[in-house]
Amino acid sequence: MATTTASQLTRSRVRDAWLYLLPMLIVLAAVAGYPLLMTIYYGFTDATLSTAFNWDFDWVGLDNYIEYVDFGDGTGEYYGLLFDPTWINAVWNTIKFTVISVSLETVLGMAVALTLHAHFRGRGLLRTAILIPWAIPTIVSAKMWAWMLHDQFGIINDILMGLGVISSPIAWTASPDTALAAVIIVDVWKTTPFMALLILAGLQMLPGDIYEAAKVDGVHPVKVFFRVTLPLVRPALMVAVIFRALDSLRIFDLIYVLTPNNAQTRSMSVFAQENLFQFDKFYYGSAASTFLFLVIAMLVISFIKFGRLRLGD
Amino acid sequence: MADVQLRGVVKRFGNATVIHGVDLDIRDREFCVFVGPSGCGKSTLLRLVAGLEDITDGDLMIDGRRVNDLPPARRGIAMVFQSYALYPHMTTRENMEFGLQLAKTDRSTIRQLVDKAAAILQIEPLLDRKPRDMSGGQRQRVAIGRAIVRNPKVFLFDEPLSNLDAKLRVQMRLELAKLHRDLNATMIYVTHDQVEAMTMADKIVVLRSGFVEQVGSPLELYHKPRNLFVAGFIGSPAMNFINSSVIDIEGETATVALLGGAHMQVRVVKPVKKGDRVTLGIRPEHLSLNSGPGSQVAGRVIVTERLGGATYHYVQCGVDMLMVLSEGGSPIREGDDVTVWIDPKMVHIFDENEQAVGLGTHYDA
Amino acid sequence: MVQAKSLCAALLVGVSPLALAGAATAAEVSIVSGAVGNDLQILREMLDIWQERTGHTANIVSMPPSTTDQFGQYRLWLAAGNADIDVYRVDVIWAPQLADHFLDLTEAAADVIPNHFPSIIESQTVDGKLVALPFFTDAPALYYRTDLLEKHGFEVPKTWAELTETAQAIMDAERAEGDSDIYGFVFQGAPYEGLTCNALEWVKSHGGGQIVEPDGEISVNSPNAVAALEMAASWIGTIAPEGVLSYKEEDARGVWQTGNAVFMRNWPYAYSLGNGDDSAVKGLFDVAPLPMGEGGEGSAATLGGWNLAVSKYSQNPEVAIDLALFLASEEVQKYQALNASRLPTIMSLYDDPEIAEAQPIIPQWKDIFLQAVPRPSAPTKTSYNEVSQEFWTAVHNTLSGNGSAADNLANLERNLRRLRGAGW
Repeated sequence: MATTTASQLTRSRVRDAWLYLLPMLIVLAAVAGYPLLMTIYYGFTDATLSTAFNWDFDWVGLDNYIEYVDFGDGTGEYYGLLFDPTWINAVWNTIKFTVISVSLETVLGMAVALTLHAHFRGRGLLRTAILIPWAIPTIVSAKMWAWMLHDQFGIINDILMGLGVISSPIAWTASPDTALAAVIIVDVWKTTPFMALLILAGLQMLPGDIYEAAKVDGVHPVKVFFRVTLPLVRPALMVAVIFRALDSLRIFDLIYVLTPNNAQTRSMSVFAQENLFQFDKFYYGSAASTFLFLVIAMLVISFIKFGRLRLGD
Repeated sequence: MADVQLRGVVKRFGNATVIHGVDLDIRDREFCVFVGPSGCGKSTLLRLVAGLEDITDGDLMIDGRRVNDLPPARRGIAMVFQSYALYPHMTTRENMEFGLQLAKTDRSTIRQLVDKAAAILQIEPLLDRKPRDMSGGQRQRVAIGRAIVRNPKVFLFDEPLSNLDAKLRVQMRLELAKLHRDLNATMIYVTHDQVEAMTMADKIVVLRSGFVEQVGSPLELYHKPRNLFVAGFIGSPAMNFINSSVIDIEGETATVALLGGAHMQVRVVKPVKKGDRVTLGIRPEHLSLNSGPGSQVAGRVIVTERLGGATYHYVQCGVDMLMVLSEGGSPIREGDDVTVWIDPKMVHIFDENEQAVGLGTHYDA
Repeated sequence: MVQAKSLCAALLVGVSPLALAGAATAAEVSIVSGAVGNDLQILREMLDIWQERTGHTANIVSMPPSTTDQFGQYRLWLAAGNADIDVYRVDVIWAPQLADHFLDLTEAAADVIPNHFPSIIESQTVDGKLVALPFFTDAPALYYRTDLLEKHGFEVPKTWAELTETAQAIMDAERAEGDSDIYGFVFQGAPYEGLTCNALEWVKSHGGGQIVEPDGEISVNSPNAVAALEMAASWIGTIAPEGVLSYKEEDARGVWQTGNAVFMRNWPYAYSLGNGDDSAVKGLFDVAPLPMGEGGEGSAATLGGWNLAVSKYSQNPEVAIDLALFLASEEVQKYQALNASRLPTIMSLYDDPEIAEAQPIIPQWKDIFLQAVPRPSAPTKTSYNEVSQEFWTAVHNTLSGNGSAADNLANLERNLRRLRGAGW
């Protein structure tokens, strides 16, 4: 008798829960699920921008990813994303950008967070001030930096030349040697505050008394940082790194504004955008977007798995 | 092992003075308890000794050496925190070893020290566990173990038992007392619980608002509280207070008014004048109902609490509520009209400034 | 709440043209246009005239200066059937790629078609359909500082080698006199469509072909093309600032018009702006045809120019066509020629005495643009943008020292072959 009642209660609770979830599920399916599925689908077709919306296209299977094209004269070549040197270059660019910028942001973010974690006068003000780069829209800050990095009118060259560090102005965003560095500099400038904030939140969760215990034990602050703070803040750090890595992998706006069409900074997203809207290769851009999605999804899954394993030991 | 001396120690945070010139001598191997209500400055005083806070003024000597300017690690102390302060990501052994690794002690020595401390505290089975897999009592032992391995001159405890449940607290109290005996170390222990103070201390320091109210052995404080605050704070259940005034004074004998026109002759040791307002203090265990020595006051039992081995009667006598401790099988019930017998030999007298001015002959011994 | 309001507004906007169509009263149309210099200001002035005459309203939707960006946005709008834009200002090379989305103007413009240069009309005709009306044409010029050439005793360079030499000499001399900001030559070196135009001129004038020949053959990997790019690469950091690798038209004009360059490669629009009152080089410069290559075919200028197309998604097609016809008219082209030194597409205007006096560059330019080199948009069809990107990437890599000209062009040829596959 009692069990029947309980299970009835459980059933009605489950039903209610689904009922409340339904509106959100519908919205999610419409704004996230449908576009994602369509993108994946387009990646298996030959749809162009003109044909994509009136369903006037054909299924081509995996051709957009890998296809052998016979030139008819006995020669032929492999085509598709997996063999496209531009795409492979874009993947490497993106990975390089992600690894370098996220590493720098993590180190700098940690330094900033540790500074802000200390007690001193004006800390609240500084915390707000440091968030400003993060609050500025990317397009605006990218334009701002584009001017600052400008070879003729830019303040960076002016300062460096004034200091005698360089003898002639550097074309930061144009030179292949510095284009990626310029993008990384701006990205680090912009997102270090975000990183610092997430790490700071992690630091503030740490019990204060263990630091006093370490002080009483006479443990050197550097050792405390590496043996106590770092291991304890790692979960928060991992979340921050995942966030930033995902963000970096789909970097588009900054590059698009700062160093457009530059082979050294063409990221996966820029590649996808070019194919989708400039080359009339909607199918190819969709395939690239799908690939990008897969890369990100795999990264998230492995991060979560890896993170859990390490957290659970 | 060492003695600890405080000379005019002052602590100010900004403009707020929280410790007002404390002088204190803690002898070698003494178990000294700082007790007082929350906010009295007892924890701050301990942190000053530990070196976690800077001393604003005055001198702190440990083992005869002024240590004001030494970092905690070089004061020869070890501290056990209220929340244990164990490193959550380290095992028991790692927690205990962590502070030692710096001291360039070699690994086998560290191992021996940890094993020895673990044996003393009987935590050998916990050595490979992390804090989250241990109970509060077990964590507390580990925290103490971590202090032991440092082999300090002075142990500092900051309310170490307050996060434990009542039963465990009693047990740990015993173990700490035993540990003190075994280690033969100087210990300074902070608590808000006067029972812990009474049961463990060689010397109790009662603090209020940054001032030392009284320093002494537990029984000294119990029998001869220097003022109303200490009298009310030490002893459980707490002392009863009756507002009164001096009707007559003759040498060391004062006649004070009691409720219902009764009066009583008590001994004063400091000068009081006729007409002075005084407070009589008498502990519940020194009152008796319906028969006994001394003067009588009439009243009615409002509430009776039966603890089995003892009974607390709350007796309303005019404006005063007196608590009387009786034997477990006391026949008196709520609502009964009773006479409360007050034995003048057991009475404490406090003047208008709350200072003790007289006490019964019982306390002469 | 706000969303609900804007939704209501959207509904009203959506409904009102239908309601007004019945009444056949004043309509509102929008024209989208990229811009360099004072293009938008001139356009607005002309739209005002049209508004006054017709009673309709015309709005300008402005776009970023990069034509590559403009194209991407237009393509997206058109694919989505955007009804908000009625008239598009389109590059000469876009007609084949966007033809499906524009109305056929053959009938509407039947009367005026014979007035325009046939080659331009032809470039805008796809499968017998006139996709866009000519607005103005473009062919770049070599801008040079008359004062500096005279001061240092140089002739206007006829070949690229002379230009290199002259630029270096004057730059060195001027720098020696303390003008540390001056450079010899500025052009459009950013990786975008403009670099394709510049590099096509170098290659073509060296006898290196035009990337992809009209028959679809990929000709770009030739010794002449290698020589052309090696020459251009030698400018970077010598006579041209390294920053030229990120310059578009307006960046180059910025350096030029502040008096910091001896030579500039740019379109005619910079002529009238350079003679503006706020210009540091006012009256101190003149233009000449671009230099020739060593033993090459002679000067080559990339054919540019902008045209006006009417969206087939327009809700007021008649009004929009009327606007396009007005903007392509002799009256407007003359106005633009006088005020913005834009090259007309109407043949008779090259003999107009008023224009000849105010903008002497224009009659001079007739032959240059008649011989201008088209970009290979016709043979490469819908792949043109990608071809262009591959080309400018190879050129940009070469200019910035990232691989030799020979390697980059060999690589480019391989990539273009891949792109072509079995056929364009």
